[in-house]
Amino acid sequence: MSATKKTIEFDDRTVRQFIIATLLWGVVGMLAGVLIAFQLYRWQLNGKEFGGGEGLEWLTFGRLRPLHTNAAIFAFVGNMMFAGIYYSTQRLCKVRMASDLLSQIHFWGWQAIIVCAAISLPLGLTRGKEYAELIWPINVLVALIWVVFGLNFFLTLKRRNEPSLYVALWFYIATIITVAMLYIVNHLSIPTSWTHSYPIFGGVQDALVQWWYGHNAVAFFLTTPILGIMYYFMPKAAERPVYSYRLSIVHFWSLVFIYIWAGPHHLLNTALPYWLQMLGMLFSLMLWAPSWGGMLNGLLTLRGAWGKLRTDPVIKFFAAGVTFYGMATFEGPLLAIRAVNSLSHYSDWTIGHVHSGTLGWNGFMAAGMIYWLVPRLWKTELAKPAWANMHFWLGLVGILIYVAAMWVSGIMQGLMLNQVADDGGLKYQFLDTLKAIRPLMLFRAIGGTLYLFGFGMMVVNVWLSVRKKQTVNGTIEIIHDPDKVAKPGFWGAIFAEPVLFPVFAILGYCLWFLLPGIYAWFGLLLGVDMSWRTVWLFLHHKNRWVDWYERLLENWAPFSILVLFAAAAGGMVQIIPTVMMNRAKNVEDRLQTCYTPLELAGRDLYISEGCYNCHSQMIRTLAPDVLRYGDYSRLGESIYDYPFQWGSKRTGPDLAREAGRRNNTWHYQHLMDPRALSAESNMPSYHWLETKKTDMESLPQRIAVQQKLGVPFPAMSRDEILQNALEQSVGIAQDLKTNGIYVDADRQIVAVIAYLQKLGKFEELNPPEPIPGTIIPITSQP
Amino acid sequence: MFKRLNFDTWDGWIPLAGLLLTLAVFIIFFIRALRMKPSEVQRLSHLPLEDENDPERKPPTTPDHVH
Repeated sequence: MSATKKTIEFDDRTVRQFIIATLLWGVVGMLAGVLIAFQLYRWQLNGKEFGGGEGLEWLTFGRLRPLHTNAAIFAFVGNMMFAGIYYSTQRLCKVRMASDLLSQIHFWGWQAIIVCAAISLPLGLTRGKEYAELIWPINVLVALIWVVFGLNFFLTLKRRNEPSLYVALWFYIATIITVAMLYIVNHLSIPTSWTHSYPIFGGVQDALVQWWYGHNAVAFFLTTPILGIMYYFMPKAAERPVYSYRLSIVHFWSLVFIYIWAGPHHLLNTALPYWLQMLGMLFSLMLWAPSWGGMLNGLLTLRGAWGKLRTDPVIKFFAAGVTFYGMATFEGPLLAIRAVNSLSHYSDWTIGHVHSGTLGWNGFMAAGMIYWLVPRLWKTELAKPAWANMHFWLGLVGILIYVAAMWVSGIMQGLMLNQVADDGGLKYQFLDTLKAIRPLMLFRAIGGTLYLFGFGMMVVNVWLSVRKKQTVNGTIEIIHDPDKVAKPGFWGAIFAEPVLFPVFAILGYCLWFLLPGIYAWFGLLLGVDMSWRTVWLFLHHKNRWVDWYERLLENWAPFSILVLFAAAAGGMVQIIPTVMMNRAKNVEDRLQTCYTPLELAGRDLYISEGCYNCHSQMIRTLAPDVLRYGDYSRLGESIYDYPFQWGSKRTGPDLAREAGRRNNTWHYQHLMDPRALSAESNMPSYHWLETKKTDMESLPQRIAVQQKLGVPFPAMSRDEILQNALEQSVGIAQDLKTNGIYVDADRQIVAVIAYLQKLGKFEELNPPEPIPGTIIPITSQP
Repeated sequence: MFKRLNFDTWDGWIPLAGLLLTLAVFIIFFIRALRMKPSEVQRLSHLPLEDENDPERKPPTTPDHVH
């Protein structure tokens, strides 16, 4: 077939739409962030100062913080990465996106998801898992829209006119495949109504799955797509190729392989099995190498173009963005060292780390990309180049103030919480530490405000640049030669000797390990034979390896499968053994007592109000934690928690052993007016819990779902469940009455008190055994 | 603690196996990257620079060396 010349017009309309959405949702997400930052400094901003009496329930920190994180991650960075992916994929593949219809469904579907999230989260509709708060109907929509995106992307790869897959496309492939895997597994739930569900994992399993997802949401939603964007847009801006293409190959495979294993570093010193903690820590440390490989590759791409740094805001943003990537990926492994983590975890240090990544890496890369794209997509010049420079400096100063404040706050609070007085007791109360870091909370809010102001300047600048301008779609002339376009070659790439020999070698060694007696020797024989063949093939037929690899780079399907294996390996090793266990039967030491119906209702309210955003329920195996909160938490003590509530930040104290520590009246007064009992508290007032009724009617359905999940609720009829809840709530109301507090038994505050009075109750199974790597239990001195 | 997952030995060999597996992946792709033909490296690294019809675009800078 002969070659033909043809002109291709790219679908840049979708790119423009995603850019506008990025700007819009960026403002919303950052505005929410600045508001909640100020709320921490001044509790009245939880609605009271907006005319809401003692506060507005949909404006509290607990409900807005998920809105901020979801908006920043999925709305701001999500739209930004889609813009970058749509623009660069078409150009790298020299083809228009496969389907304009799918592109539009993707764009509008994603915006619909964001609007649903922006409405549902302030209403308290949440799954109670960080970055996975959206309720199940929205989860289904996310999965469907992601499939639309993936389908459009892979069909575009299939139709491409450039045989080779540039490294940016590898990162996009890894993003699409891995995010789908993570999102689906962590959002598996059983609905109890249209707005509520329970995750299928509970307790430690839920913790492990959640942070496998949570950590890798950072990896594969906030990092890999932006690295792809870096590998495409930095060479464009610098007008020179990437510093080392070879390094990008090593960077990609090592990053994709290592990242997925590191999730357990979010659960160090907790009740998570020790080997998982070690695995998480070790792989986090190994992440240093690929992350810095990528960072250096990005920065060195600017070699010879450093002069532009003085004048070109695009280069400024890219250089600073990549530098922040390097800083954040240095700090991440540092925080994953168990000893460092014992100080930093649950403190503001982690918050500072996360924001140096999102504001510095994601935010600055987004700004650089948008400033580069806008003049090209609207065929215009930037209206106010000076504003872009001002945006850069405001953003940079804002981030530095923010991050420095959070470092100081986190380290100071960590040291104060760990400090022991001469008498062996704790030197500081929790509120003392809160008071000490209060000024730093103000600095954090000021830093965030500066960053938002700079971002606002970009929004106005873009608006001034593009208004009344004609949009332009890019075109490219190609010589279409069917013979030069990659052949599918799927099976050829899969069933190639360089793949088969190592796979059978690994299989053989697995059989050797798993099979008994003589069969094990068969496995060993297979493993050794295939290993030898692999080495022989490499030494004597190097071309077959080269051919296979180059075939792989031209065939997206087997390449994607290889990426899936690389990304799934770590998750499988960590999660499958833990999830396959019959949990309660294998728990040692202590077993959580089951919730009563009223306690379950209170727990769902606790989750709905987002209390987990400030209160943990996990006393770590660390002396200061034990001294402050009581005996360290055992794995079995949260085994029936759907979802788990171990938390990730302590703006307030841990609640794992709250039961019986204080009386019902104290809890009532504290929920109604925290400052009446704790003068320095920045907790919102939850006065609406006294006026709103507990949803008792849904309890039978909720309990039925929990029973399906394996929670041993006693067999009760609907009436018995309601009667049980009523009797317990009347008991609490009567108790409050004796102290002069008159509250109806069917109010939410009664259910929440019932739940708080349950936290930490367990039954002893057998004498405790020391856990390797943990401290010897210390007698509680609360 | 889960009885089945509380083997002391898991503490030692799982991270070690993970480390070895990672090193193997790293070495394989390191060798593979090193063995790429220079002409192929140059062609691939220039892919982002050879795109659309833009008369205002300056010609891409030729790299002084290829990595």
